[in-house]
Amino acid sequence: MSEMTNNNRRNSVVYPTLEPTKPAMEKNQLGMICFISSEAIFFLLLILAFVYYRNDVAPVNSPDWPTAKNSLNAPLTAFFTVFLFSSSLTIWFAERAIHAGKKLTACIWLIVTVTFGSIFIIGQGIEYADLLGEKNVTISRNLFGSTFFTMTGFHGLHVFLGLVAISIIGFMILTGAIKGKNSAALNTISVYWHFVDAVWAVIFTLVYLPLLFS
Amino acid sequence: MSEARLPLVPQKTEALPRLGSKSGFISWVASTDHKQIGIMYLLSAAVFFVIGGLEAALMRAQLGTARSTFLSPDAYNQIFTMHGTTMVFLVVVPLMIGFGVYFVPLQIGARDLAFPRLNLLGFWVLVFGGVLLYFSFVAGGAPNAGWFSYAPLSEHAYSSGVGLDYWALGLLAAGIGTVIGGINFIVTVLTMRAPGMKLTQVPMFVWTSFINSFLIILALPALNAALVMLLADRLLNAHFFTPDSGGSAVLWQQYFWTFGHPEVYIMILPAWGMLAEVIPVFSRKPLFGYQFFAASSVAIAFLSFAVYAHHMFAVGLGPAFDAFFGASTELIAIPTGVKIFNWIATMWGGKIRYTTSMLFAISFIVLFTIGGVSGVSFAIFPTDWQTEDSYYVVAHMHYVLFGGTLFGVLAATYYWFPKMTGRMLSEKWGKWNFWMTMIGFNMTFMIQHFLGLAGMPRRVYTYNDNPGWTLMNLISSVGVIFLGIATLMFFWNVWISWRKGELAPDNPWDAWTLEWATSSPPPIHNFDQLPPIRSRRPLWDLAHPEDADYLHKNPENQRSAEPPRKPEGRTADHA
Amino acid sequence: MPVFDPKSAQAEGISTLFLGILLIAFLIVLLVSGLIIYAGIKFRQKGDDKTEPRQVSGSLRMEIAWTAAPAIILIAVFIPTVMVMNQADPSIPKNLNSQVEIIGHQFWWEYQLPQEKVSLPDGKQGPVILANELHIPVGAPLYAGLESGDVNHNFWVPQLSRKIDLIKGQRNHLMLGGNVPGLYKGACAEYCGTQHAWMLLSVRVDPPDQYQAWLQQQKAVPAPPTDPKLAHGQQVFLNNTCVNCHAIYGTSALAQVGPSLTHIGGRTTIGAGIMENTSDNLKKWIKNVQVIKPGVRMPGYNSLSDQDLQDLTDYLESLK
Repeated sequence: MSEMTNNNRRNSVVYPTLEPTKPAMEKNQLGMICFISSEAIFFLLLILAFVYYRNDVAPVNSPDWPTAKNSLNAPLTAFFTVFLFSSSLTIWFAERAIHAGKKLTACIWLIVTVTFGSIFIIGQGIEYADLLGEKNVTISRNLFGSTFFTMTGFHGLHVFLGLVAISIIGFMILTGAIKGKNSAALNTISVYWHFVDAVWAVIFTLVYLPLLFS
Repeated sequence: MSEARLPLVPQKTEALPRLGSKSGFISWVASTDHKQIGIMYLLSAAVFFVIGGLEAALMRAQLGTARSTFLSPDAYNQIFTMHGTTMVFLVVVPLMIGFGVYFVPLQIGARDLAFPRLNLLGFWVLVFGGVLLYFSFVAGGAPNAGWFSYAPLSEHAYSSGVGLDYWALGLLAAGIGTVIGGINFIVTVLTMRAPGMKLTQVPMFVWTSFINSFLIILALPALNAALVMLLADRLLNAHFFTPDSGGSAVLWQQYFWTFGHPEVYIMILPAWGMLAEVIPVFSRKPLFGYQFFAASSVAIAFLSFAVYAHHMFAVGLGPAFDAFFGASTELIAIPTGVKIFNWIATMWGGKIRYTTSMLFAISFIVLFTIGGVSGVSFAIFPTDWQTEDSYYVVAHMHYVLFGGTLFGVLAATYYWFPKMTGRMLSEKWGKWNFWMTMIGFNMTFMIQHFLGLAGMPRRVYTYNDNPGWTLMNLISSVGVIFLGIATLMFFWNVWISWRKGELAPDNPWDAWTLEWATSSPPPIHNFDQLPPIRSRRPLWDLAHPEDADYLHKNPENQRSAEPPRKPEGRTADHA
Repeated sequence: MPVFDPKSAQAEGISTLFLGILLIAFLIVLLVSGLIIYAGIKFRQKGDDKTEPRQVSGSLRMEIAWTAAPAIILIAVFIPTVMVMNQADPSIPKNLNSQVEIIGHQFWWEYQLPQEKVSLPDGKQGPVILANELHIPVGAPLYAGLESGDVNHNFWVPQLSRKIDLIKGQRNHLMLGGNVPGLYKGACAEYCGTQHAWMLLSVRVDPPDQYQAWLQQQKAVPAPPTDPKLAHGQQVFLNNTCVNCHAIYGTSALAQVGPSLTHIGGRTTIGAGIMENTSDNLKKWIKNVQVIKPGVRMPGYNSLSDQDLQDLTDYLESLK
């Protein structure tokens, strides 16, 4: 109030033009990176619980105590995993197509991505059905069941939500709701999709890979 | 500040988000204006503060005398659980976020946060979590396992009521809402700063909110993961934390405190930032050691993830474990000390104006120091083996969170209220509010240090009259009466000043940051024009062009306390 | 203040260290508030002075000073910290067998002396099982193992030892001793549910001869009552659901769910410290336990006739 009112120096000082600060990154993508860092911690703890309890010993007289080794069909899951990893590649092709202005090609790649992702989800469904059915491995059976279903279940949920989002974006490109050569929405969902793949890579390495090579 | 004086650089105008311009009642539900949402955060925090405060009052009423039967044990346990949970998740964190939502965009000269709609979503998800938590009271009993809900007490076998399910679901929602807020701050600070404003030039409150957001997005998911596992145990009979079927009771503690200790800093970092705004303005000097203040906040953020196990020294995890976490916890005292001395150095050589805001800020330093040094006696783990889970902890923690955070919030409220409402808070009521809070606070909590040393454990609904216990408890309980009066005074002041307080000019305190370069309250688009930003104090530069900060050639406009080397070194006593 | 009135080497070390820390803490608070009061008075705005002070905004030298000084203090403090750690929580030889087993329950304490045996009438041997009140000999500390039977608890007798959690699935250790005979009180220091408040600890440090006398008494099996009233009391105990949870050596009741009642007459309190152990209180307890200590895992026996209740309490109180 005081001297600032009295000192009206507005006209006596010449301020040089200032360059606008360039944002380090497009904000949607940055937001997504923050979100997946948060999600990474979430998955880290679920995975750590699996690792912490992996040597959970069976009570003395329970020969059919479920473990990763005697319950999981690793080669089959490895087969479905190939589809999930491939879908990371196909969504990248879709991005490239958009940048090149080829909308139709982009849409086709997105459809391939969704198909691959769906095959993975179906694979997970088959695995769950097998476990829950004949083998009677459930979340409440023992610690392997608790940790396995919680960890893979949340991952599956993330894949599913990703598929929904990719489908919506594909649809928007098709109908022209997303225009131009640079779709922030596609770039952003692509970051998310790679993250979902990366989480699966960790889970696969920890859970299935040892089974494949033993 | 009116157009007669200010702005030289017209602000680029953008189209408003469609929902931003809602008016009337619907604006309190659907507005995406960060200022409105900020006030909504603060008001909802105020509502929960009153609830949490009444819970505290009930607890102190029960503990005022030995073997009191005022509350049943179950009622007491529910109330202390709800008090802790409410204050942490529904009061302090929303207060920190609320001030950030309101002032971070203003302080960096932005139109709004990066994601206005997400901002609104985050608020309502948080409130939904709070409502879910309190719904437990009518759904069959509130949770009663403490705000930390240690397994296996929180498991179905020992807490079969629905209270803990609501606790876990409510916190899950509140946690997600908080993460949304955190993401928004990070992106806003990185991409929305006004032209010319470097990251090293943003006000310290923006810095602390920014750092805080990293803590939020990295710590809250740890809680969410733990809650998901607890819910799986409770609802689906999983075995994560049930020792009877191989689960580990200690794993819950590891997970909870992985979140829980960063959470402690989430609850104080922005308050440090508030002080770093208030103290310079009322001392009429820039913040001393800006870079060191920011760097010490970063250091604390990093360290906060490496110290969580100091909550677990009594668990019996072994000498190596204890020694590591004891040492890392001690390290936190160093950056914290840097802050305290920087505040004092800011006051040093200034011309201090004793507004209510400044009074709260100064007492923050002292009370927070008391809380800080008593905190060191938990880092020294052999003394922790006596003090942990005693009333000594209760005293320590309230010195940090009440004497610290809440005093910071009060300082910030008296400081920023004119900007938010266009009216000044009454200084007369403010001074009364201040002294009443000081007396009540110290009376309630200082004595609790001694109660702890006399052997009183915390979370007990009653106690035997061991030597001195009743008297000390009574003093503590009487202090609450003063705190109650102080709270009433504060709300009365807000109410009466909001309605017919003295009209506030644009920049009532002669402050220097951008939020004071627009009207009070700011228009929906925040700024018509911005002053040029060439230092940390654009409004100082504008008012003192001959002694502008950017004229000082030291790196990052640093002015040194050391005497100028050359005779033409500037002195600032120019007026 | 019990924390500063230690009666064992373990607690002594903590107490001394704590006093040192508090002294440093006090000096720091004094320094900070002194600086603030000085600055607050010296640098206050005088009158209507609207001029701005010199705009100093930092000093590398001072930043280094107030970073280094606390660091030096902390390093200086960390050395005695580790020393006291070794004193208060000494490492325990691997092959040492525990002398006391402390087991936490909602909401009472169970103690077992695994190295002492009770000879039961049927020729078998049983462990010495105590509830809520422990005696230890003065001098060399006993090696105690701790575990919980249900939720987390914490053993805290401030004058005798560090505080340590009892956790199901994790065995903890403690050296528990006292230098000076006397009764030392403590409490459960980890929130454990409804009646966490009434889970008090009571450890009596006895001179050697008294300790031996006490130990012999605990090892003795109560003789079958000869007085017909007491014998009737025993029948009331055995014919009710008491036996589902409680044990009395020398009878057929051997359940270990609730506190052992073998020597209940010799205890000073009932209900883990909630009330004095008198005949009247015991009657109230049996009848209305859910009113006295709601949430405890024992039903009230409201339906007992006055005579039955009288005989039952007389019998229990006779079990010294």
